[in-house]
Amino acid sequence: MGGTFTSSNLDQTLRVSYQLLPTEGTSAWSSRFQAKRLGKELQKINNGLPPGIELVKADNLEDWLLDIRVLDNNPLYLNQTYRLKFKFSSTYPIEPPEVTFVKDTDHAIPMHPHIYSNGIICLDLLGQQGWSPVQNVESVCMSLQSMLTGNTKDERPPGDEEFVRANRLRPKDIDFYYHDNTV
Amino acid sequence: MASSSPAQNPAPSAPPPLQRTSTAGTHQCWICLQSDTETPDQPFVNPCPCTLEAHQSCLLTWISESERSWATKSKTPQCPGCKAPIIVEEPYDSVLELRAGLNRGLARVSPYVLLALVMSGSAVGSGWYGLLSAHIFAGPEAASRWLGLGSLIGRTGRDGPLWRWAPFWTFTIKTWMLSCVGPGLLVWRVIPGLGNLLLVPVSLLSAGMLVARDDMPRWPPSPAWAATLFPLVTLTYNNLYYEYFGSLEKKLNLAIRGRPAAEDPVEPGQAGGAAAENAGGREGIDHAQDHDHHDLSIWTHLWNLGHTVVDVFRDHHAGEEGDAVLVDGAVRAEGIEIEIEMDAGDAAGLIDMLGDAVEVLDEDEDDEEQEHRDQGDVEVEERDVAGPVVLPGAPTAEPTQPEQGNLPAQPQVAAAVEPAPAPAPAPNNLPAPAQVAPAAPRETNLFRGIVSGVVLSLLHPTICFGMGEVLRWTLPRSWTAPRSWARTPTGLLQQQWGRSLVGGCVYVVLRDAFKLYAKYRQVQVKTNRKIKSVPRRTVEASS
Repeated sequence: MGGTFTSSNLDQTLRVSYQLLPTEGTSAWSSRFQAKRLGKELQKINNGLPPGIELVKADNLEDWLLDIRVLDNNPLYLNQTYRLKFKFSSTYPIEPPEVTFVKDTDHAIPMHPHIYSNGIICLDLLGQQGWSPVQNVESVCMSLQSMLTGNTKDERPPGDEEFVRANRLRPKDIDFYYHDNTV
Repeated sequence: MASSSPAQNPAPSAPPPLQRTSTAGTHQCWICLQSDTETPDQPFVNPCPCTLEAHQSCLLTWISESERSWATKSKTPQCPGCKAPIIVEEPYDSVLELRAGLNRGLARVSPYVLLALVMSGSAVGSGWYGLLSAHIFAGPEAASRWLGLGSLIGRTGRDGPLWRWAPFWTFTIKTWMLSCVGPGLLVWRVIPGLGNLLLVPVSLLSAGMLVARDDMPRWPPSPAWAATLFPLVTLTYNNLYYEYFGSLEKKLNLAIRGRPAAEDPVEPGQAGGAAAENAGGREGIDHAQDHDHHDLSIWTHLWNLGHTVVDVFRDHHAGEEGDAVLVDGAVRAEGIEIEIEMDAGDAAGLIDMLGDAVEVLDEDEDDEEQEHRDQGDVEVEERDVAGPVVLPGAPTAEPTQPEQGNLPAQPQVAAAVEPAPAPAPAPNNLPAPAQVAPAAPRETNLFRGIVSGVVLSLLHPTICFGMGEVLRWTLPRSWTAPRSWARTPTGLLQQQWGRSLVGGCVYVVLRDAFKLYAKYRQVQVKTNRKIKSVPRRTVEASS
């Protein structure tokens, strides 16, 4: 490889190296990167979403809102619509988005042993380890939808009250212990 | 992006745009979701067998961003779809390779470097300690003369290169010898027998060399002869001690442990004879017979030598106990671990030693438990033998009159009445002068013993010097002052090293004597111990 740099080759190398450098440029570059990627995702969402998933708001590159419904007759979630909030950092999709359920006058937090009552979701897909750029907004929504569909337990995670009272961390910084793969 | 509508629209809407046999325009990066027509200058790569493909730059960004969090779980980059590993090729870089090689080499070498640093540090430390000891023991002038510091300082250019100059090597070897002093003292305390056994042949060899160099022994001895003969002196002393005081000490140990021998304590002066053996308990006799009625074969002699060695071991530890007693100014109750070692010395062989030690351990624990149990209700009181030496026949005639006058009456009173909560401390219930404190935990005792043993060992040259000074001021001046008319000293005590040497011997003898006497007194104390009665808290007792 060495010794055969053409000028375009060198130019390419320099550009890639510059992109990889952890400087101010990285953030500017990665936010452009994030904008392109989100634009592509939005384009795809606008072309249609799976049943039970609806886009509510996507007017900027930081916060999106989506509604999900459980399609079967699970009594826990029957006739309920839940609102999801996606927060994208400038490094998306390298880093996972921050996904929480929103609680307002029309929407409740779904009852689930992996969903805390403040809306924080314990799902390995959304953690640093489980995430990969192959995931996207739609696939996250579908995962959450199926997570609710498969649940039969009308309960919160253990230690929910204490967690809700004490937690000041952002969801992606919480080191969840994914102990239970059955629900 | 806005311009990309007509051509690209079909691709995102249809679910799989990712086909292996894709033609231009259908590649899509799974990271940025751009197709190759949108990014014509970005090369695509196929890092894995599945249909996922991505821009090289996107993959590199993803990998370099995630490497750190993967490294904590020792994960390597892999395709999120098919989990096949993604292999990153890096161009060979001589600088990076050099750095990695240097790091590897450093990591391999650094333990040895650290070890060498620690070892050289301790060598310097022990060398310094040796020089200090020599200065204290023999005085600064004698030590410097012996080291040849004078000729080292007076070295000129004519003396040739340093490594071919004899005084330098003399100095180096002697400094090295001095650096062995500290470790040697410690080894001597921990396994004194080993030191003696090793030193006797060395001293014989050294004597032979001295004679071969026509350096005949004469009085006062030269330092070389003193050093040569000293191991023989210590060995002789240990043998004599064992011969004359061994059985007495054994009996005292038995008595301290509460064996039958305690009932018939003997005066220290009558030690060693057959009478003393008969006076001992059955077990004492058994052990004594093992020791004394032996065949005179070479193996028994070796056996005896081994016992001497073990006894020396015992002596030194017992000496610690004696010193501790000296420091505290009060007779301690029992030093458990020290007793174990003593009894180990008594046993007839290794197996006996072990068995006995275990036995003693058990007994001591029993004793201790007993004492602790006793302390629930009553206090164990040990009378200090404050008066003159107690005669063996009258062990109860103790200076405990003030309490004994009242004590017998109280239990009767207490037994006659019901207990009542009225607190009424009688005046004769004041704390006794010598009460047995609960025995400290064994580990603490052991640790303290080790620490004080090490300190005593390292202070030995200083103690020798101090005893030498004591000799200098107490003995007649004609012994210790050099004669003005004589060129060479006419007596051993006229030089500081000689005084220190003799002072050290005096110290060891005094220490052993004190230890033996303290043990004897301990037996006396133990035969006179009794349980202290306290008055019951009763109505009648208070009235």
